[in-house]
Amino acid sequence: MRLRHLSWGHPGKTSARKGHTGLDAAGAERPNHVPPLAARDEATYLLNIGAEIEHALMVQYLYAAYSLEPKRFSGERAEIVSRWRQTILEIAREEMGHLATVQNLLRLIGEPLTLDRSEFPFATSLYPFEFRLEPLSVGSLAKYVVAEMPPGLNDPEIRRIRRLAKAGNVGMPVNRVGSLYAQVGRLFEKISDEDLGKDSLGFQARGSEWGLGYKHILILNAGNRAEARAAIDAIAEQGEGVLTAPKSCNDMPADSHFARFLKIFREFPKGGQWRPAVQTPIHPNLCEPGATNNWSKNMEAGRITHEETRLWAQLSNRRYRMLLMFLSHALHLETPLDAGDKPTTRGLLLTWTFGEMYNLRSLAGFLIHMKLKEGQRDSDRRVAGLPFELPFSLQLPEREIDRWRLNRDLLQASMSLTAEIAKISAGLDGAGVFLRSMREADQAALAIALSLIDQNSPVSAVRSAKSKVARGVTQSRAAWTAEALAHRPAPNAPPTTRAARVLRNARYLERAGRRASSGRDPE
Amino acid sequence: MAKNNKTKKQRQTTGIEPLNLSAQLSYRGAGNPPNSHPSQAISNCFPGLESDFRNVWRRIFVGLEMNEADTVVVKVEDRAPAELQNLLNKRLLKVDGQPVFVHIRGPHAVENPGPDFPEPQGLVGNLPSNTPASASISGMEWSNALAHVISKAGQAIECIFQGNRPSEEIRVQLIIRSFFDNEPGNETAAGRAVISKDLIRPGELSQSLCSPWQNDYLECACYYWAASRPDYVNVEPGPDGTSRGNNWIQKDQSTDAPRSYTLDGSKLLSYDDLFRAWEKLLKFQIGGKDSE
Amino acid sequence: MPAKEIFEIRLLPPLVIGRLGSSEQPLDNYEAQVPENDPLGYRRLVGAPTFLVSTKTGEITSVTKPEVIRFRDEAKLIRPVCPFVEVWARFDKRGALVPLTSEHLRELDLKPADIKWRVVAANLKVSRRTGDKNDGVEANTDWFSDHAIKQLQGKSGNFVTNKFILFGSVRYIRPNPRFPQIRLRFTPATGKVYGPSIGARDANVVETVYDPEKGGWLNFFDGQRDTPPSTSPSDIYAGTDIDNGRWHISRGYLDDECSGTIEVEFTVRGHKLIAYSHFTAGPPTFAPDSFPVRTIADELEQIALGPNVSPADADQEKVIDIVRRALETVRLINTAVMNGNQGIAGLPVRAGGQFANNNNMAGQDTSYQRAFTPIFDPSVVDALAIRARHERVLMAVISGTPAWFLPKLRHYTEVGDLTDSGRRKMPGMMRGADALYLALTRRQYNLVKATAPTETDLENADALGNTIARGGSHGQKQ
Repeated sequence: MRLRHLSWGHPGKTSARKGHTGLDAAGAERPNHVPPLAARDEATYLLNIGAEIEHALMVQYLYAAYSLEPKRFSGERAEIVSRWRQTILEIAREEMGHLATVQNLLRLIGEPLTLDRSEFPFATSLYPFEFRLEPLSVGSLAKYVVAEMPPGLNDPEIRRIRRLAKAGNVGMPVNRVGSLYAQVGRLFEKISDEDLGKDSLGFQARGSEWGLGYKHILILNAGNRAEARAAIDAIAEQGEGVLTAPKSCNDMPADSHFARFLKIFREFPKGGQWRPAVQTPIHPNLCEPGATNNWSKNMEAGRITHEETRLWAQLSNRRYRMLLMFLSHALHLETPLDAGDKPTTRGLLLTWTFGEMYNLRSLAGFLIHMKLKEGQRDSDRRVAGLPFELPFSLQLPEREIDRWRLNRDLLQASMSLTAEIAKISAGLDGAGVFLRSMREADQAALAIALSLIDQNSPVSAVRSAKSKVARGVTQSRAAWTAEALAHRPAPNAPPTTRAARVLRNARYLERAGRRASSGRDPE
Repeated sequence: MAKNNKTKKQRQTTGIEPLNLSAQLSYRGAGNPPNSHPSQAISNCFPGLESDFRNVWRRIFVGLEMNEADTVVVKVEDRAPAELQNLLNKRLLKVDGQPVFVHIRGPHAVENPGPDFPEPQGLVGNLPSNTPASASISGMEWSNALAHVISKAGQAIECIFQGNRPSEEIRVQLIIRSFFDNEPGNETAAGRAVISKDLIRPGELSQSLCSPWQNDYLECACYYWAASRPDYVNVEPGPDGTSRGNNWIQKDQSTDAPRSYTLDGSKLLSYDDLFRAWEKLLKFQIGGKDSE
Repeated sequence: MPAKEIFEIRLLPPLVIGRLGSSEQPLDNYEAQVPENDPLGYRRLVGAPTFLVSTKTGEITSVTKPEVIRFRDEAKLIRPVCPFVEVWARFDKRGALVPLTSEHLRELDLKPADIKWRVVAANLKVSRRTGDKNDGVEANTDWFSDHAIKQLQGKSGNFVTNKFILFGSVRYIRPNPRFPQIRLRFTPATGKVYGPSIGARDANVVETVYDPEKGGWLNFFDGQRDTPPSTSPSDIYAGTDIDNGRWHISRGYLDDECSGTIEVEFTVRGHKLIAYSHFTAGPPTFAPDSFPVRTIADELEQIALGPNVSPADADQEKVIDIVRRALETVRLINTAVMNGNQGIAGLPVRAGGQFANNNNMAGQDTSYQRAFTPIFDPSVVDALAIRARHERVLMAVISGTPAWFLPKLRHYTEVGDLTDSGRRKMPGMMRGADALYLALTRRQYNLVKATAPTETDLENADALGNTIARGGSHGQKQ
């Protein structure tokens, strides 16, 4: 993300203030672009940053959750590890909700979606620590507590946690994302009504489309200014920050991200009595050495070189890309808002998006059982993890048919990789059936993509004749329909239209009630 | 539940343990296809297809006969004890401490309310005072409502009925019948997996089904059973990526019928079609596509 | 060791289902196997050992494994499902049950002819409604020991004299050296419709059997005075609507389905042994490669083993089975129609002031004065999307993911929850036995729960799914 023009200042002041460690009540320090942009444009800038942050947090938390494998333990430990994992996964899902809501706000002001983010590791002036993929530990938990902490908390426990998070060393204020959203809220007041597109609602992500009963995932829509403000307030309050500084930890609502991370932190073994998390790498990656600017010891240590593991990690990158592209594609399709509007493939693409989320979870489960380095001895317990590496581009083609070509390409590439892996990983427990079902799902998805491309390309008229043969109907039934059609309805035949009997059974309760009270027979 | 049973050879070397209910229930019988087994018979019985399984619960309480579809007493046996005699037509509310009814709740605003619907007034659970009380609660299906007491066969269970006035409760001790044919204390019968004759007599499993059964095939759009009565067949992606296919009961069943699912009654098979020629007209679906 | 006595006999399977069809050839035996290469795909129907019974002698002459499963014969008639019921015996108090054979009988100085069978089948669909016992149609073979085909002739006090409905037949299979087991076979009827003897010819009925002078089935209607409580749903007999759908007047039809009891009895060394089992007859399974998400087998399992599942009984395979059956069910449903999407399938958005596509659960809910709205977001319910969704959930559980979707399953106490979030639970869009939303059996739910991740504090909140919905008229509204 481009933060080079982001400044934190008090209202009225235009110069940046570096090394600011103390905080006034949240909101006294405001982020802004230097030089200032028009309100709508500046809101876009800040929302872009917000989207990147939510995305990065989500991925980071997912990685942390995936480092917890309850089945390695039994009894109470298994339960507690399972609960931690669930809690962190829930928090990650909530970040996903925020990400979706931010996209909705961008839509409202007519701006494009952004699913991009900086590559790990990276630092920002918004957080006191570096974003990185790492297994759950006392240190990383401390970071997350501090990351989700509102400004102003300073009791001894918090000071201790900040030390553990090494937050003090980076010299940045605790958590500024709340301020970011607060400023977006203020900017929305300045955006004119005409610039707020109520007709964008058909494109916005809807909580009801997500399904699966997650109660606390806020995917909020905004069709006007008031709704936008409410959405911003909601996502700011859920975890990143509150608008008024609380006095102590225990003032924070129990369902805030802060409180939930704090609870895990308190429960996590501090003295190393037992190791709850699998030691997945810090920054697992498939980079070519020296290919990136932030190459470091950690990058080298996290580099996956084991031949079989590399393929699985590549597969997971591929599925991550598909997740982002399916989601992006879905959100570019308008969804019917009125009764009677035709559905589009948006629902299907969202389904595929969720499928990729499940796949990543499954793949994470495989990767933490796989060797990291080529030639690694059995006694070397290093394992791999999901690299969550971004593809070369997240841009969606302009035309619908080209988007489907991209989907086709993604699916085909994944299928060939899956086939390759299946040959090598025959012995891995559960891998076979997972890969087979993935291939099957991909095949069905590919058939839909090919069919769409086919039916929408200029030569589709020719092809559709061939596709009839492929339908697989084995017998002609023309002979039978003649007889069925030839009959005449019997006298007093019951009505054949659905509409006429539509409320029959719906009203039996009512009718039974009426009969009971009237006791009357029909004439 | 239906395992792939192997054919039993001449002299059985492995048998079934007499107390093993699961093994008896999952046994399919030599030469019997899977669809002869209860594992392919639906049980969301409203009213059901192969059977209306709700009927098995009618005489679960000794001395009483319940409505199969409602938690109301429809008959009291002549030789039942006196305290049961005034339970006729009473509604059962709780069994062994657990309710056998649910509250209905949801958004109440009714579109285009006709003369039959009351005016919108908040949540369904808070209906106007002249609404019959039965509208806001509903009896739970027996299977799940009674699951926790089946193991207490032969024992007396406290049951609470609604009295003549809404606030009045009638408490009685009712004895739960043994579901399977194994009376408590009878060692020989221990472990039998056949539904007791006391619960099911000939004809009762099917008595509340549609008559004729073909009647169910057209009515039941939402409460059906896809394995026995498919709905959407020959499904494939259309030009806009959404599905297209056929209605299983459409009249035009030629191979080049357009893949267009319709609810237009004039294009669908009628009751008369089914009564006369269901066997010819209804297609088997294999792999989701028209087969024989 | 030759048999010395029989401690107990049972008939297995304890409940069998026959399926109608007019072909003379019973349906072959097969297995419905999940293909290894295609774990999300349709089950493959693979031939399994099938007995060929000689019509003449009643014995099994051969056992074959068909290559291809055909549901119709050459004349395109549907092949009925004719299940066998077997006698199993316990030869000592502590022994296992094993199939009884003619060899066992010989060892006990008995012959197959010493085995007595009796089958009672009935169709009480009319008497259930009218309350008139004479409307019951019953077939009783009386005790028999021979191997001839015994027709199940359903007779009724209100039938025209000498008329009956054929419910099918049963046959005591003649044991022979190759196939010595003691078994009976039930062959169901052909799915014909019978009617009242009135003057005009009715092309719907194959025979007029009911005498409207004797009984009141013709022109009966649910809600008629002095009749038993109506079935639920009501008005599910062939009939005509009058008075704007208020009354449904019966045309007096009956069918040849039945359900009944098989009894077997014989005496060993003065010790009388009896056993019985049940059977019923239903229509064919028209999608035989799909299994319903909740079945009678699930009911019986809950009755036998109870609703609770201990952690030790947690079994991922059971969860996979449930999810697979959910996929198989939803695959054949037009989910956009069932959801209440409007302007589809040849129906306008509105007709007569009401939303036109409302013959679904959304429409049924209006009888509780619930507002008519589609159940799920209309944009995500196209059949391909829903199918893909279920496939992906199946994939995840196949690869060992704990059942994270537990909160999405409808608990049996939530069937009356008609709020948006309540109706969106699973199973979706389907009706349960109480006319409300279908819930799995408690045992099925608990099987899923046993493999679900440990609940967090948040999930313990409000089982009715009230969210912290804030902002947005198109946000999450309950």
